[in-house]
Amino acid sequence: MMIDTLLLRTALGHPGPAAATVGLQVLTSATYLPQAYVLAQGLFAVVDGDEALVATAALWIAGIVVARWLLSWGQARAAARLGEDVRLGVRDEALSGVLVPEALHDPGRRDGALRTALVDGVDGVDAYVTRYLPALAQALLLIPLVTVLLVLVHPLTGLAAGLAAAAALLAPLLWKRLMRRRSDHHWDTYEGLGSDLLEALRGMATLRLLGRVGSARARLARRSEDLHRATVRVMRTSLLDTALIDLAVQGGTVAATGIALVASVHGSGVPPAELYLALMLVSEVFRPIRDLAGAWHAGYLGTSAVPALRRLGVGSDHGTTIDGTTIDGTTIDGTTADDRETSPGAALVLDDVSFAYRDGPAVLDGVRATFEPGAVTAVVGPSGAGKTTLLDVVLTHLSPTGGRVLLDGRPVRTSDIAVVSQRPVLFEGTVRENLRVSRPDAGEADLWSACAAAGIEEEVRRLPAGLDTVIATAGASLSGGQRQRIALARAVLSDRPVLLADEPTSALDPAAARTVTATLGRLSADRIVVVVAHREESLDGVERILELADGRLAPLLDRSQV
Amino acid sequence: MTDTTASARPLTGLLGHLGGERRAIAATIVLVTVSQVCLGAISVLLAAAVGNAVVLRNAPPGWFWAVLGSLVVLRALLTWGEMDASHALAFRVLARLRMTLFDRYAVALPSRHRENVGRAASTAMTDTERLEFFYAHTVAQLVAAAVNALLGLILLAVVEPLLALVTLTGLALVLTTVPLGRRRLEALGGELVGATSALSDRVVDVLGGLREVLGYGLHEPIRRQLRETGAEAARAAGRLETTHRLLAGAREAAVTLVGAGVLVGVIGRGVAAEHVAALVVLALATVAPAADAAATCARLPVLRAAAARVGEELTRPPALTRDTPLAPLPEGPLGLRMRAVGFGYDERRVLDGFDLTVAPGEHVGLRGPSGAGKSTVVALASRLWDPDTGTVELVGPGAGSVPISAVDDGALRAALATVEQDGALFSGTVREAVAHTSTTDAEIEDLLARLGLAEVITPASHIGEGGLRLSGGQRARLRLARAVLQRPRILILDEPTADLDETTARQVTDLLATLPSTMLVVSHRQRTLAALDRVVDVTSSTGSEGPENAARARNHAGHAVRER
Repeated sequence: MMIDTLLLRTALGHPGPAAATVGLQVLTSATYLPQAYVLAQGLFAVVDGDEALVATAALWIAGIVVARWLLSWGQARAAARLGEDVRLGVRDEALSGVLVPEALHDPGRRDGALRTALVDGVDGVDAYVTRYLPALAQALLLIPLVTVLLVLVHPLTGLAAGLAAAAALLAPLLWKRLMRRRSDHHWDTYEGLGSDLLEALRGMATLRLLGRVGSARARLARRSEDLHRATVRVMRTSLLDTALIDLAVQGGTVAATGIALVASVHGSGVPPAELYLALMLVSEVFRPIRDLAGAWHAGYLGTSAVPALRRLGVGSDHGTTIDGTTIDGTTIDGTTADDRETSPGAALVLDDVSFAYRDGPAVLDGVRATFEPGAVTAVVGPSGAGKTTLLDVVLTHLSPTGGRVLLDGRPVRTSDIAVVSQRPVLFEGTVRENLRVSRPDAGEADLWSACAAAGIEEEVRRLPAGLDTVIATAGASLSGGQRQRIALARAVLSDRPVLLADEPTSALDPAAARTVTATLGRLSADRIVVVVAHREESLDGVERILELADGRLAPLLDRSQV
Repeated sequence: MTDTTASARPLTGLLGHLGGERRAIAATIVLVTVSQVCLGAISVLLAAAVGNAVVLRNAPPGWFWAVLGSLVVLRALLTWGEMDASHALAFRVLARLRMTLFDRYAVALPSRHRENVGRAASTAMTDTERLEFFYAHTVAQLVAAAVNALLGLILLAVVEPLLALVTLTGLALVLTTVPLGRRRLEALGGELVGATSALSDRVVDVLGGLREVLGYGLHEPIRRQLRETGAEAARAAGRLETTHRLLAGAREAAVTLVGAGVLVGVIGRGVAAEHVAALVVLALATVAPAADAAATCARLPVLRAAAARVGEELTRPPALTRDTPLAPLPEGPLGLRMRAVGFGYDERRVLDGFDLTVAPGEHVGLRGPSGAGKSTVVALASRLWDPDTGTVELVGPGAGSVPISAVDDGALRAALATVEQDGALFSGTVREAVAHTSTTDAEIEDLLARLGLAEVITPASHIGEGGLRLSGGQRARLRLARAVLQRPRILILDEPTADLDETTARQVTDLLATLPSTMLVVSHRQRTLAALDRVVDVTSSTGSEGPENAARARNHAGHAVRER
């Protein structure tokens, strides 16, 4: 018996389908009781030589079998519905825990582990909820019921069978903690292998170029061996369970039947006609245990994934952080409706902004600056000065440890800002889909004018299917420069009041860089454009340059005031 | 049953991975068979005793209970031993299968499409796990069920042939459920495996682009998308399970009806009344394991889909297409020569008749508009892929040269180091990331200092997955450090200074100037190129940079190569 409160709560979160699944399961198994009665009657009818009764019994059994078939079909459908609800619900909740800005700066994040939890772990939860839990509920309901019926036939027999069944059900609780520990360890090694594997597959080009495929293989082989060992350890413990349960079931059956038999032969309490019934009922006491043992395998992965899912916030009601607002009232979800439109000419103000990573020195230490439409502002600084950190603070991916970031006098929102990052990522899908993420209703003309503005129009037209060309994962089928300009087109299309560009020209040749710089200049007429750069080439025509050094911004050049 | 395994080609193909496990398989089969017969014996003996008690009013002797008791203990031990042996075997095979898959990926990735590796990860993790069931249960269970059924039928036939006939009919009914649902199960299994791997792909894609997802507030569309893909998988799983249950219900009905049939069948056959209960139970014990075996067979179609995926992945085409007889590398400084090289991704030709020569010891820059194929040149010069046409050769100081495809991979990687623009950094310490077998900490520290990284990291610092703890410029320098510490004879760099500020970029160019390696450096940066011996321009064969481009002299099918 393994009960996980989180998974139990998850199941109860879908009361209708859960009740139908469990109810029908109990009902299905309950049909074995009349069948046992009828079979006992039939067997005794043979002894009696009552052929008509034997035939009637056979017909009744046939009827019960058909009823059970229909019930179990209904149960399977209910379970399928519950399973779908649970999978989608849990995955969505876990995903909410993944799609958070904190994940960007979490050094312990392993994408392979997240993939494992979101795909395999969630599927395991389905199996636990739709198979193991109903089997457990059935055991808890039917075992006492059948035991009582058996007690009515012969008290001592009922007691023996009931005790053996209870022992089979409860004994595993004795080494529950050992099991839990081994199961956690098993999941950790599964995740560990998943992480290393995904990392190696993603970096296969690098591994091959470095001639390090062999050492990566050795590491994976070690991980795989660990997983094998951990799995076998968990299995051993659980198989010991299986053996002990088998012992309790078979031993209990023999003992209980033996008691009834001896009692009957010595004429103390069990009439011969009821001895067959006792035999049948003893077998029924243990049926739920056998079912439960069968469901264990299915439910196992679900319980071992629980710690990982819990870490992603499943079951902790954190969903509001994703849909709503953070503690300080800043909306972090770009899709929520704006409270009010940003007025034209509104300024982006960094008001004494400070930031430090946990246990680290201050990266930003009292940054003050105002950015307005009308001209491109550049922020420069040496590598590692904290430029990307500053961007993340403005984007609200990081919460400043001090100070505020305001747009038009209110806290800035992610949805105010269009961003072109240093290594833009495009999603698997067409060019059109990738552009439209920032404005799903954009028309054909909008798309082409955005491409033109970003200096990529010609190249897109030359692609095999134009805007409908499929881009491979992470845009890997395009060159770095093409990716950067598609990201710029995406930002242009979004029409957000602030455009942040992190090294927009670092991957571009001078001609393309000039196109992009000119585009940024044009866009700065009606929105705030900030370019973060470390290369002087990207700064042609930029009127205002601020330098980030020692955690502060200081003006380096300001032609706009001249 | 034999029919099922025979048509299950993908699964049959995977049977090869059971090689060397013959004894373990044989042991499992024996254990399962004995355990099943044991269980049947317990039930039949108990029913016989009850029958005797009801009809003849006598209890069996004491030794009878002793026999039953030992059978119960034996059965428990066998259950444990059998499960232990079969699972240990299955997981051993899975571990091997996973590594076989990795070995394939190691020669097949990255493919030219550089497609999502989420699918590959899902095959190596999820699909292989699904096959556990196949390796652990199938073979032994089928054999055991057959032996058990045969024994039961013989016993029944000895007592009363009609009962054997009834039981045989039940067996046949149970077995017909296997081909009955096969098509539907196969279709649903394919759907399930496909949808799950699509989900896996998506998740990996989203995780890789988390910054974009957050920046554009794509939570909702992403959640919706994943919900849709997930719903497809969940629906397929639900329908699959429902089908299984329907078939299981049919089998269960057949088993129960065998019991009822025996009950009716004994009428007027002169079978002693005290034996009837035992005969009913014997008939049930004969058919029930066959029903379990049929349930196992019904699971095979889903496994077949998973096995087909594993099989497909195992036959991925290799990334390198040229198989040239091995030849040793020339001694001394190495140069690089690309002649009439052509290469394309799907329909998109990137290089056509491309020529490039880098003399031994020479430092050459490569410049050109984005999309012209600079990174492709890097990939071909490093033998990440082989070109479609033309040759890539390594040349010695004399006249000696050797095709790059003829060099043993280990020797090639020792002689040639490449720093990709977005090369992977693996989670671990700086030392693990950059050090080669003979590298000392002092060397690493010295190099970190020359690259301006000494204040940021030490050899023992942890860098996080993909170098998450470092800034873009720091990551670029760490990649460079990794290549430099290898002391390669040829160093190929793709945009080594693009992520760097002026001071740091100078540190890098200064470092490069002191290296004895032959060098090919792709860069947009004037100052980086200025420090090199010579700069070559690559122009897109379908370039559109303007009219001035049309006037540019082109050699070889549109690839303009100009030298400064």
